[in-house]
Amino acid sequence: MKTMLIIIGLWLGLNFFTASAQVVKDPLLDYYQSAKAGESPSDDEAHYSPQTPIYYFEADFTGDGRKSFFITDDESREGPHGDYRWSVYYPLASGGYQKLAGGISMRKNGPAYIGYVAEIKRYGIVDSGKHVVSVQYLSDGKINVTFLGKNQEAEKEDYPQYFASPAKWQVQKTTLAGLSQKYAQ
Amino acid sequence: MRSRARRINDSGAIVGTATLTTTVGGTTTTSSHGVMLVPFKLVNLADPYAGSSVIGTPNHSGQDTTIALSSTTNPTDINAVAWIAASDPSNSGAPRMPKLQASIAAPNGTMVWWKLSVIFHDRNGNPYRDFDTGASLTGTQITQLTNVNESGSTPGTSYSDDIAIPMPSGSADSGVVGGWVPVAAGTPWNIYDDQDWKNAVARGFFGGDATLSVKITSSDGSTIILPEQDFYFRIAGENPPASSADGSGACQTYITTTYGGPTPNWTGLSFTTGTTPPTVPGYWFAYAIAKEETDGNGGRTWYNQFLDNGGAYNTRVPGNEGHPNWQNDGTTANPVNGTGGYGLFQLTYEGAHGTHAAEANFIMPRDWIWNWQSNVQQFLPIAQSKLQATQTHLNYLHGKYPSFVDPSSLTTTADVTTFNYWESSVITHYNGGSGWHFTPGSGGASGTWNYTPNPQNYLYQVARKGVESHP
Repeated sequence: MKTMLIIIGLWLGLNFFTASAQVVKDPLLDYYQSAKAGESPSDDEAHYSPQTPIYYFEADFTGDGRKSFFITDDESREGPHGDYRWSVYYPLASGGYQKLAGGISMRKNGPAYIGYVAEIKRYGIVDSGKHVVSVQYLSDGKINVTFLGKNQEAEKEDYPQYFASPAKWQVQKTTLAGLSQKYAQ
Repeated sequence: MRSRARRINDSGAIVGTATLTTTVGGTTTTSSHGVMLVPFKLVNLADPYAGSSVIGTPNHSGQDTTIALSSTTNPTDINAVAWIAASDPSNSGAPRMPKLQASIAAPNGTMVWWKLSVIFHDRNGNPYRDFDTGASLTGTQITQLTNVNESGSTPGTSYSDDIAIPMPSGSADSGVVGGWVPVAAGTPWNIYDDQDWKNAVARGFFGGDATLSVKITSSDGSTIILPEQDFYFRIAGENPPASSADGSGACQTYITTTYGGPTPNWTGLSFTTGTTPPTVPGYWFAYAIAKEETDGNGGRTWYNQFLDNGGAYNTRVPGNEGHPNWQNDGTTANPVNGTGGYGLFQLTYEGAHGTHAAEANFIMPRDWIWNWQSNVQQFLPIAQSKLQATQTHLNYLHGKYPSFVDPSSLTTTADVTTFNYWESSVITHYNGGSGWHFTPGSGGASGTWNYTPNPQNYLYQVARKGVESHP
């Protein structure tokens, strides 16, 4: 009986794993396949063409020494203020990447800072808006956001450690046709 | 030089003599000349400007206000401003362009020639609105704007930032000669009644750096008595009061009541099975968005169509008071996708992307910039588009995921204000993407919704500054 319970538990666990924690080996390939299916990071209906610009970069978002992938495209703009909805693929301890549900909102050229944020004692993404300094971070597989300063208000000048230095990553640009060519080989 | 006034002639001019003494190489020469000091005046008639506590200007109380004309460009004297009044009590509290009248005590029997130019320069002194670094209009779009004129070239006559009275060509004024309006001595030039002025105002309020030019000739124009003289002043905007005792012209009252709710056109939206039509009682939160969007700009707490002190926040910039409130949310590294924002609702242009069509006006009509009520009126179609985008998104999710769940009954609380799904979606969309995200269910389970503030914390800001009035 004990053996059967273990087997049933293992079977359920494997099914759960299959449904909610699909491991991605190549984030760009996964993104390309989603875009081919017409799915944008924003979950909105998108109209991709071979010329649709795609942007991506890598940065250590989780603090485990491996870099996460951030990918977006011009179909994923969010209004006139320059924000884009980005897909995030963060590294798993077991290898490969996990795609973050819902993605994350950032500017086209990435945020001001990605790395350790002392105020929340963990890694996060720091950027500023009007009277706002935001920190987006990963917690239990979901993105959370918190805002620095009293009453959630701050200016970026109050936190020069996050805004004074140039970004440590370089946003790369390609197109859907470029990815198609890359993965056709 | 010594001068002496002799008398005031029949036209009101001061007539006198001037004695000029010059010494060259030890030789002194004295000569006398007849001179005429001609009183010259520009008046804003029955000026309803209510004054500004931020810059300390007094209420003009409906009196005629004399504009302090300057002989040099870019005057910094606050009295060199002809104000676009926020509220005209004689016209149901609507904003009013300055009612300008120019006069000069020219000798009887002469002809006075007038013209006026008004150009909107940006905060860097460049002509044509604000195209600072970070605004990402294309070169074609900027060329299109700078080429528009009041004669009616693409994209329309209400966009020009360069107003000339009389119009250089196609003037509606009678009797215009060579770009000047001739007026017989003794009669003022009622600019407000000039047909070109009236036509330009009807197309859209305007303002900026103004040049009033005058010359005097003999009655037939053959002899120059006074060559062209140019005088400088500004046309700038007065902010509406947040509230007033009778509600007349008050910004919040206008947005929430006079504006008519504003009430969403629910019947114009389509709904499919699985989503419930929204029950929002109008866009009641519109005023809160205007408060948040212009919070502290120009040194005034809320409702800033214009920069009271001429600066972005608390620092006064002399010569810029009453400049349109333009804010560029972008940076060189991350430019905005259009013009930057203007006025109470920080109206922006958004280009086409994805399933979203481009907004109609990549360069907004000037009336949205200089007439605060016109700016307010643009909120409704924008909010409608955000509501429609929310609905389109729901329809998409509904068709795609069997585990779709109707979010209509969901709420989220920002600070201490609770918004329903539709309200929070429209507000957050006003600042970018929706804060609501759907995670599909697996194994037959229903999906789940969660609201995540955007990096601008916009819903919270609207709640705290707008609804809850925290300064």
